[in-house]
Amino acid sequence: MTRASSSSSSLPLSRRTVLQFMGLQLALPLMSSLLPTSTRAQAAPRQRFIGVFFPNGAHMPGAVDGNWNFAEALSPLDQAGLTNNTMIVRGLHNGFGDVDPHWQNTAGFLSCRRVTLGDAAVARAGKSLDQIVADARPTPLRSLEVGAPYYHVHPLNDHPGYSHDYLNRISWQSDDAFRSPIADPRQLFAKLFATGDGGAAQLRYLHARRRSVLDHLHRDATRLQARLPAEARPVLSTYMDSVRDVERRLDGVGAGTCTSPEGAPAGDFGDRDANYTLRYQLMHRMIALAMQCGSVGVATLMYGPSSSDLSIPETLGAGNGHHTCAHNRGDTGLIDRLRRMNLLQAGLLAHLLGELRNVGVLDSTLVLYGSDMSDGDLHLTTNLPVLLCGGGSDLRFGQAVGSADAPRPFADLQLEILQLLGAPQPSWGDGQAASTGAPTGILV
Amino acid sequence: MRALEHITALRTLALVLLVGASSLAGCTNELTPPPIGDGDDDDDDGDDGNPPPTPRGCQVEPQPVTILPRTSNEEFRQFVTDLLGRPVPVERFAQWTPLAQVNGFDTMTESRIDPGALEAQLATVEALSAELMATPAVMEGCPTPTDPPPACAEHGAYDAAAQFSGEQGRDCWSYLDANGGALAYAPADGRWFSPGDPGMFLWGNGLHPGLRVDVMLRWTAPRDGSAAPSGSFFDADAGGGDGVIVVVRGPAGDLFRAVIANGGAREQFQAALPVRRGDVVDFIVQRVANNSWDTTGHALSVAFTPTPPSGGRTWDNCGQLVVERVATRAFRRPLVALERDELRRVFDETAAAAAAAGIIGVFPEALGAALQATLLSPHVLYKPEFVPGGFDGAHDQHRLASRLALYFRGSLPDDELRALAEAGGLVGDDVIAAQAARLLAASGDRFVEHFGGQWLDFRVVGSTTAVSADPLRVAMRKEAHAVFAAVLAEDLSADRLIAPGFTFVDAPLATHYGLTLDPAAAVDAAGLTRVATADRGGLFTQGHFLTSTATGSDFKRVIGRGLYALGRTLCQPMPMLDPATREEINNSVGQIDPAAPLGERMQIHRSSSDRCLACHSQMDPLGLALERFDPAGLARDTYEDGSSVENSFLFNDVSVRNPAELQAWVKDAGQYRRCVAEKLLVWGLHRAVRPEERCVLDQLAGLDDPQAPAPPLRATGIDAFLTALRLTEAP
Repeated sequence: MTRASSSSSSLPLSRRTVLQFMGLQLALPLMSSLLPTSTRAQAAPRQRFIGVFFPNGAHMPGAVDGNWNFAEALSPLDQAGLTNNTMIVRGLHNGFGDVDPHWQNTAGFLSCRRVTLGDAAVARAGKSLDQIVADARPTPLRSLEVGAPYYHVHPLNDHPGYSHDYLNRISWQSDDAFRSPIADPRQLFAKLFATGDGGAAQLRYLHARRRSVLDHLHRDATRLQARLPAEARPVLSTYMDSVRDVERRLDGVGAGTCTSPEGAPAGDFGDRDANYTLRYQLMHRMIALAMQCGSVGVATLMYGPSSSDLSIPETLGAGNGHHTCAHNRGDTGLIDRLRRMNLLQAGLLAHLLGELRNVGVLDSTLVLYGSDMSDGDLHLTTNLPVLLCGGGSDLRFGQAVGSADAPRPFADLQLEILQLLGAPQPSWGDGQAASTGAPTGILV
Repeated sequence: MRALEHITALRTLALVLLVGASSLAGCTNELTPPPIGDGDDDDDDGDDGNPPPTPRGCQVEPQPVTILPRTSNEEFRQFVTDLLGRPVPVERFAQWTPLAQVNGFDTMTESRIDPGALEAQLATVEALSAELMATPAVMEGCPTPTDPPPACAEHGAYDAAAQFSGEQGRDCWSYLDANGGALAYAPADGRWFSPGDPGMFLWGNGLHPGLRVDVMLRWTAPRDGSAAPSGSFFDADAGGGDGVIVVVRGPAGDLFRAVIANGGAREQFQAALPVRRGDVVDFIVQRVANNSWDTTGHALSVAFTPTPPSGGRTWDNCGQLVVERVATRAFRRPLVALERDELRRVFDETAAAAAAAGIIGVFPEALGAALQATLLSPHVLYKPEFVPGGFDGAHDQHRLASRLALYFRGSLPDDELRALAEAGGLVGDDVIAAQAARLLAASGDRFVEHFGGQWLDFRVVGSTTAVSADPLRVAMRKEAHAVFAAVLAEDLSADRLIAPGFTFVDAPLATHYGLTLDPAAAVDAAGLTRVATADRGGLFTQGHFLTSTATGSDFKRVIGRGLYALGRTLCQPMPMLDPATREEINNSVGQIDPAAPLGERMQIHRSSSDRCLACHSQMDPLGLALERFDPAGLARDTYEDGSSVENSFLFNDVSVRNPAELQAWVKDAGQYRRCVAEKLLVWGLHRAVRPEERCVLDQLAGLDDPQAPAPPLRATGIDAFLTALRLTEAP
């Protein structure tokens, strides 16, 4: 087996290395998963949040419940023994009738805020839930964002005045600054586990060099910003915030940085369809390890950008893409493929929850799983397919709460999640998507 | 209520900006745009500040760009390509966050740089700074390094088996006992041995320790740098014995140690370490208790990256020269004194930190940091030349030169342009136009790739349609590129993009199209041959357009091709569906027999309501005209069931029943010519065309003079650049 390690993320490593990396889960502590979740008297203090987005809705014709239940669309969770860690939350709506929900409910998935339209050169949504939690619960790494390769919008799906970023980003550090997801597991590995060559002195030097460069960039941007008109300045404020964020990361190295469990993953992750399942399995594994070792407490995952025609042929065989299957117009072949896509993604969620369970952090984490729509064919945004996952007997895991007949804003659930994570907000979301403050019934 | 107003305003804005006044004559009232430039034309009587006139009298107040536009990842790649003097592969930027396309281009978004994006950028420029320092042209003027010559032959990769020889020190390999004593070579056996210890042997891919002393293969660092030894050891004689201990040892101690029992598994290792010239890495096989059955196989290699030679080099005699050279080019203007001081500060801070930490190669570390600070500067990652105040007034000539270079070569000003700006000679439309023409001619296919490739979606980077590795699909993208390049280079007018009279194919694509390829005809660098034909090569008859827009059902193919043609060639994107229209569409599910002929189904879509007709009257005729081509782009007369592919739908009263009719109308249509002008103008403006600016499109397209022939595409581009300058530069 491989012994000494090198940190270079560009080292060509074999598929065997990937499998070794994946296989490690067997060697990690399983104590948590051996405890029957339902016997625990109360919730562990919840410290972590993961938001998981899947695009284009589920097979829920007319926004009725359809097959969104443990026996059908969510059967992978049941098969993985995760039913008692999963709650179906029904009757939630999000978005605004006059904005295409693909865009609105992706960028606003975790904020329920209205996106700004009119100039596609700027992207403005609202600060998202994950980032509020990241503020409240600082860790060496602020948060992790993971997703699929960027979707450059096909003219068929494009709208004048809509920023393409809206289909591609769910995490917003501020109203006007998104956090772009990492699509390549090798890049995430380097971010989490690479420590640099050489010893401690060399590492200290490397950080000193980077700090000198970053400090310079901050001063440079400050001077440029002072010269520019007011409208052009915020973009440099974000740049300077990013410079400081990367610097803080340097300062934090050594405190909570995870050690490398194995070599870097390898594989072709450049194409959106290539290694679709493996991509996310690797990402899940790394997120779980990073949470276990305390380097991060907040993450978001996108199982695909909205509107995009991810087709996943390696698992589903050649055929139509996700967006086309969502707009199935009742075609049974397309509906079948959509259901298989939903199953595949529910299986991914089960894998993520399994990884969290394996490293013993599932009970202290809340995972929110959902989409931009319910019925993607009709673009319906009522009775969204939403799951809340985690552990603890204070929440109604293993049940379905709410009802399509009693609609309430998604923001109500998000407000409760913020409360549970110790980051309470007075209200959440905009206009018709705003919270009412009424409890959603997730608490026992 | 406000929401409704918002969407109405949005739709109106989209139509006013992007639709020619006459183009929607057949539309319903709901989608008919208000008169173009309503209320503004009366104001242009010159009594409010004398705005500079645009060509031939269309007077518009300039409006600078209000956002700070990001340098696109491709522009950055071209910057570095120009600084290095050699192409930088696209893969180097694979982990950079892509930029959203605005108005069809990725060069005009403010796209914020988040921490993750900055980290990826930092990693890339750390590698690029080393490449810059290894480039002689970048380091020109620095004193020759006084470093000693290599201790042995310098290579990037060393392989013990491949470089095995009977000569000590050759290719930096030495053949020793574990005490450092030299072995002797037996040419007849092709292996090294110890005269005093008969059990000890060393050959190409194996080692055997002696009775008394262990055996050692040594690699010596030829120069200062970093070494990455890797490989494996294995038991090559599992017949017995007590196993061996394998050790890899660097200057600071063991890098790897393992016991291989008799018949045990192969042991792999990899490591990385800084090395000084003459440092050694030893690969040792040790006995356990005795050396019986100790034959040990191996696969050993060392990757070596030298630290750039820098003996005798300092900030004063080299660093400032290099930083000034790179930063002046990358910033697209001279540095100001404070910037020089600041970059020197990075150099000094890093040099001090490197010296204190005992880092090998203090000068390249310090210079590298200053170059990294240069490349990641907001002056490079953003384009302040588009924003008022972004460039100092003293640098107006450089601002102009940069805008020229960004427009026509998607990169930095070249040497001649920079020198002209430096000398203050970039004055007057004629001089600027001459430079534009020169840049187009001198910059290869950069304008074709970055402007044409994004407009018509044949560029692979950021493509909105699926990028296929299928050689036929690759050839189709190349065909689109080659036709655009030829129209530009041969000074043809934009109508030749629609009906060029020629195309470019390789042999498989010629077969696909049914074209005859003369085997004696010249093949260009892309592997394509020019073929004269009236049937192919136009925007609507190119395989790339026909295949990439034909996805999903036949309905979707018609809509897809129609929308693409409307948006890209007529600048007439359809408005987004409002809730009422979407509800109407939703209610129609199941109302149309999917087995009915395509033409019949499309007719039902058109006749459902005025709301449906408004868009279907525009999209469908264009898409249906192209039903003459199947999803693979092959010509056909009938569908599989034998029915005709032709239909009689009209596009705004014009008959476009087939590709020939469609091409014949579009190529001379004012809307098409205006659209080409608009794409070229937007490329230079870095923002959308304002309603009051639309009058310039007629002038750029040569439509203001009915007698004049259509201008060449190249001339329109140059004219559009000059116009974009006037429309964005404050007087």
